[in-house]
Amino acid sequence: MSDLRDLLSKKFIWRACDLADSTTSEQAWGIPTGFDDLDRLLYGNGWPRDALMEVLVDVHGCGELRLLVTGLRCLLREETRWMAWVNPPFVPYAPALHGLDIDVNRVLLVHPNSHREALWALEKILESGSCSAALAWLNEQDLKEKHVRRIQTRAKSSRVWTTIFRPSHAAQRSSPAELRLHVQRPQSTDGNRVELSILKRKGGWAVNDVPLKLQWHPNALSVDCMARRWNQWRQTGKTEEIRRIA
Amino acid sequence: MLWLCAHLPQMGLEMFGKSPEHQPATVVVDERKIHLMNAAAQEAGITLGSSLATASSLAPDLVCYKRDEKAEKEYLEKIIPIAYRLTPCVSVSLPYDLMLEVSGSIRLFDGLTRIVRLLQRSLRHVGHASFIGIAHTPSTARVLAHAKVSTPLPEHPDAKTVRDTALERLREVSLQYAELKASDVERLFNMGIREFGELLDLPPHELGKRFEKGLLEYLKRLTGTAFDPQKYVEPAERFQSDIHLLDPVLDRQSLEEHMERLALELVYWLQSRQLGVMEALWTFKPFDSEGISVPVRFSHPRTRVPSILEFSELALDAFELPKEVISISLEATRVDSLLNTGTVEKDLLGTHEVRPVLPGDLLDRLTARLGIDSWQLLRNMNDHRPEYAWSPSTASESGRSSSPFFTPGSRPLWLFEPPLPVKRKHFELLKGPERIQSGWWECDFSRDYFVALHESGSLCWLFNDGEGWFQHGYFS
Repeated sequence: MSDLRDLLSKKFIWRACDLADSTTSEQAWGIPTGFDDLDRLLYGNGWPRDALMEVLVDVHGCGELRLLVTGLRCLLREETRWMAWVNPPFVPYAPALHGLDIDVNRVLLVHPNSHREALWALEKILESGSCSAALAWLNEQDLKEKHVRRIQTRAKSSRVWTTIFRPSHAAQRSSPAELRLHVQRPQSTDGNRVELSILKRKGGWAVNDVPLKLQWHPNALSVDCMARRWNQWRQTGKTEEIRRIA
Repeated sequence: MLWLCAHLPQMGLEMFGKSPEHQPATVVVDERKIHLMNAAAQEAGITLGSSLATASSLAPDLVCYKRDEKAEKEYLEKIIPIAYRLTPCVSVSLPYDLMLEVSGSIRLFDGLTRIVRLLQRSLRHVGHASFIGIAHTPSTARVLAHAKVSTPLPEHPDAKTVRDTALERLREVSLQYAELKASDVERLFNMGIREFGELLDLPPHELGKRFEKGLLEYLKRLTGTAFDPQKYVEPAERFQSDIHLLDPVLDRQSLEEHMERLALELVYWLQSRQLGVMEALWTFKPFDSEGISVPVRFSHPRTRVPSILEFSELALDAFELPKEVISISLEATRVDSLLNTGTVEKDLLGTHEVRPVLPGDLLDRLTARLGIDSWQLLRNMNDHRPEYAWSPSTASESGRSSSPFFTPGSRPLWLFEPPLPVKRKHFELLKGPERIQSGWWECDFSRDYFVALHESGSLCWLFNDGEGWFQHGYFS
């Protein structure tokens, strides 16, 4: 029994219970997602910096971009590398990205003509080392597991946060991606909420229905909060002024 | 004055491509006499000046090129950029010599040895063996180069040292290298005068009496007592070079070897003009029909052989090459100054606007394989009309974004281009209207925009322009 305790005290022993809900600051190497609830559930307390992630959606425009926006902004600020969008279904609207504080000047859009070209372009983007994040919309019918595996290996070796968007029926298929999320719109909302299911994650089990409230601006504060801050600022300003006069 | 003469003894042969070592006996024939030959021909026992019939009997598989003096002259002009990188004072001396005046470049290149080494190395890269003669006058340098006599000089020689050393070395050179009429040389030989030293020691007055005026003038040009003006040349304004092969190229690998040589020539030309290539055009021609042209585009001025070749080969993958390529040509269709590639720009107030460094290699790879339209960069524009508030941009315009003036959250992340006609009954309007009215100078533009919720739960951007309802994007 004492042997077992000795063994457990060793650092190299991985215990599932350590990781699933770990929130220690040393382990926060992930890219902040902007949602505290979600951060707590993810390995490394954020999006993976060097792995493939799958986002499964029922329809486009259900909030999948705003889910990733905080992470993309953080990554673009930290690094000088670029962000690539391969085969986006619509036009990523530059003024809106700018409004979310994303550096539009470092966004590369790639429009391949076929599935093969899309895979080739994605691989070159990952290999080039000039992008820190890649988003790709691939043709589900032609997408094979070996393709996904290859993307995951490339993402790992060149440290790129790679996200591929797939329809939700892809949940039935197995995938080598490190993190798989299913984004859903809950019924009857104002359109700013999503429900997230984590189908697969590192260091933990699947989690169902995490409600998230999507933000429009990272620094957007509520009116109360603004008023409190302004009052604080006024108070300190006044006391300093009084001190100077005295 | 410090003159270098780069003598390319085998240029007439080497200009046909391929290094002579791996070839069968090859000769260049001028008026049915052997003019130049390679090592294999020499081994077979062929001598210069012998007739073609004799040579053919000695080496049955003899490869024979006909000498074309016009082509040789054009070729020599094509390799001027190699010399021009070292000094602006370059002149051509037919048939096989490049003359360089380098007294102004010695300090820049930190010594004479380095200049000579650079010159020989660059010539070797394009496939030429060379011998360099160094002297105080062009004529002496040429004689020393032809006679393969080296001039031992310090790294930073002064004019007097150069003159004394060169003249001393010249004294021992045989008169067969003198640029005189053959009859004059023969007469001097018959008189027992066999070397330059003996000729120079003779009293000029007596020589003038016995020989034509040309001899004395030549001696004055040799020693530097008479001025010997040279016509300086500059690299061509445009770059266009081709290789015509005798045997067609069948496989991709040997094709790439020839492409490398052309790319190297292009790079030397670019360096001499301080330019970078933005667009190049390869042409591959088979023997009997029209060839194919392969354009290659670059996101920024390129100056190095490996990158030019890499993207050219990627672009080549998209084309079907002729089975037998007999001629390859490369043209620089668009070049740009290297000064324009700085990533930092200053505005009038002196504040720096740092433009992001383009991932040039990646962009060029995508262009080469998928085409120039396969990628876009994004840019914000100063316009209220949603379609005009952004614009796709190319590499050269990147980073010139202006800030849009919308409150965050009032614009969708996905935009539909063009807007999609929709039925009003599927949507629940949440916010609006926002009237956008602008663009009177182009077309009438008046729309009421709404944020709406679709039945499926997606947040959409709708507008009504009086004629109907359109969806213009997803907030996503």
